[in-house]
Amino acid sequence: MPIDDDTGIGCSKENWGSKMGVILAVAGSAVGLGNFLRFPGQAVNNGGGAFMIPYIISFLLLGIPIAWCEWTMGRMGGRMNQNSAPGIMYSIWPKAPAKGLGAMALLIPVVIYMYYVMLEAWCLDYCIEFARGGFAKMFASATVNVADHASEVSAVVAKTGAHFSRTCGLERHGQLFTGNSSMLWLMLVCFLVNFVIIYQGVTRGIEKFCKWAMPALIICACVILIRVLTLPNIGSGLGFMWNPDWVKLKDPSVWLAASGQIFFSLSVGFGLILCYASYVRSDQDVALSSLSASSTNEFCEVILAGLIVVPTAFLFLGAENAKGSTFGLGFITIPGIMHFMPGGGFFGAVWFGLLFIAAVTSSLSMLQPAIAFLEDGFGLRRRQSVAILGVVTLIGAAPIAYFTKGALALDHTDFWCNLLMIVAATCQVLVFGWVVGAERGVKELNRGSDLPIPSFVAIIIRFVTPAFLIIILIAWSYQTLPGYLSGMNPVAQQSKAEAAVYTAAIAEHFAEQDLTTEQLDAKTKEILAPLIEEDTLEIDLAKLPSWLAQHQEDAARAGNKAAEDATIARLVLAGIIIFYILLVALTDLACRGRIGRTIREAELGQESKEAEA
Amino acid sequence: MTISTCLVAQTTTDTTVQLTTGGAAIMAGSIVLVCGLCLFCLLRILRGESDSSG
Repeated sequence: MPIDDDTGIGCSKENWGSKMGVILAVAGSAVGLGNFLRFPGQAVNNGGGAFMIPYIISFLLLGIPIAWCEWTMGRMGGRMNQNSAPGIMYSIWPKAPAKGLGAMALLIPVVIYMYYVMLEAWCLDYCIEFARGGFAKMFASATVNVADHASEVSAVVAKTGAHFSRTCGLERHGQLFTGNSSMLWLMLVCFLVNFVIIYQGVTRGIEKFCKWAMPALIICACVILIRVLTLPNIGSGLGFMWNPDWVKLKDPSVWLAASGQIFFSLSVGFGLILCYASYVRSDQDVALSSLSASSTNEFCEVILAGLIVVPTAFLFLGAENAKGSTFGLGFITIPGIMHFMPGGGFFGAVWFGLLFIAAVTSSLSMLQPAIAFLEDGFGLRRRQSVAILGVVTLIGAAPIAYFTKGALALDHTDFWCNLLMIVAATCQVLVFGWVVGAERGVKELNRGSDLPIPSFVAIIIRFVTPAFLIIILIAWSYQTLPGYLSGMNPVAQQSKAEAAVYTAAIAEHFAEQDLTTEQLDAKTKEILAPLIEEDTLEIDLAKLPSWLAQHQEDAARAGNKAAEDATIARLVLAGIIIFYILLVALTDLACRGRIGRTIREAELGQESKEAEA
Repeated sequence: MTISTCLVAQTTTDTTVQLTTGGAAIMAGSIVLVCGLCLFCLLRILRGESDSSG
């Protein structure tokens, strides 16, 4: 094992070539679709400029402290020759829960990669389409006979919406697997690009790529920003995005959204930084590097995305289209904007090109932790590790690419990953604050630091950040879990969908009687309640009145679809649980074997060096 | 396409929203804060590098 000459302890097999290299790699890991597509939507829907208050507070109390914790623990693990989350956690806390936490930090990035690669392919597809003029042709045919600007906007948005559903396979399951879809091939191209880069290693692959990709991404975004800021009447677009709605600050969900945005956008707490930081030399600064990477992420998010996306969407497509969801804004609104923007074909290609680069830099960071685990834990060569991970992620990505109707499998996977991310981050901060010890941790953070960290940060890391995270975890679970879990029950969902069809039929049946909403509700309850079995929630079809029975087929179709959706949700959860159990078993095996041995050797090296001194 | 249509984009007629003083202040504040932080980090990195090479 290589030994660090200065400290006498084990050093990682591979190190970052330069400080700028690691900063750009970590920033590249954080800067992704969440910055350019999620942030603008979150801000404009949660008070505009007022959103920045909870956002900045969350950045200071949540984002920066967790990043510091992760960087420090990563470097500590690297000194013990560990580059994977399980190895790093076990070297810091050699107890059984550390294995579970390490396995979780391994699971999250790999599972996210399985659907993220599909988003990467969407960006690549849109970039190619803009570059070869496909969108221009599509919009030209859609806007031939439009009377005014408003109808042109409607026609363009409808066209981009239909295009998004068709090309990304949102209309039906298995759509991407039909012969006339190129998306599957693009996914394979993305797989190939990611794995070729990751195969080159940390310095020659990830660092080299991020060193040109990140500046290229920022330059592309700056070109678009200049174009946007020179548009006539841009003040109204900026006003729509940034004018504060102070009343929103009283709403707890706005605070939750802001802290969630910081948390998800910085990619903290679930093993990516832990892995990257383990390749930092034992005496190299982490405090300033961490702050620099976080700042670069904020630059891309607040300045580039904040000034481009929503202001332009408002300017060209109006308020209604500027308040979309992440995917709606990204893949329906933005292509629509490009129709109205002069030089839209060029700017569209540049925009989706930069999104593709951002997605690749993030993908690389999701793959490296698992590669490091296979190398450290089982002594596999890089080629073997890359091949195994390639097969595993391909197997995982296939069902997500198959069950694409309404982005169903993607949404369910994303939901569980988000929950696990908050759990993993909370556990990591607690380990840093209470197992390593916040004071010792901050001392370790200050080792070789180019930026002295004041001691009060220890108090924030020990008390404030975990409390903040626990509040987010509870509030987020309270807000989303009950509804989500009930949506996983196929029988209940089937019954609910059938009841919805019959409710609509009842409303249609009594339409002529001009009933009030309350009267109609009472009527619906009176007809349907006796038909629903209390135990099974099934509707007794034999008791249906004849005029309602003619809707039986529609109801059965809707019910089957809802039951199918609920079953897919269950399958996703089952898949994640099985994968986690497998990873825990592998982690346990590695910690008992190679990882445990390497840690002991590193400790012995450290002790002998201390004895010599 | 004429030069004028290249330069002047067709936008919505919604002029009811304009950037208010509060909005401009928050936008400018956010830009200054983020750019300031980036600049601070960059200067510290450059200073650290010149110290280590010196």
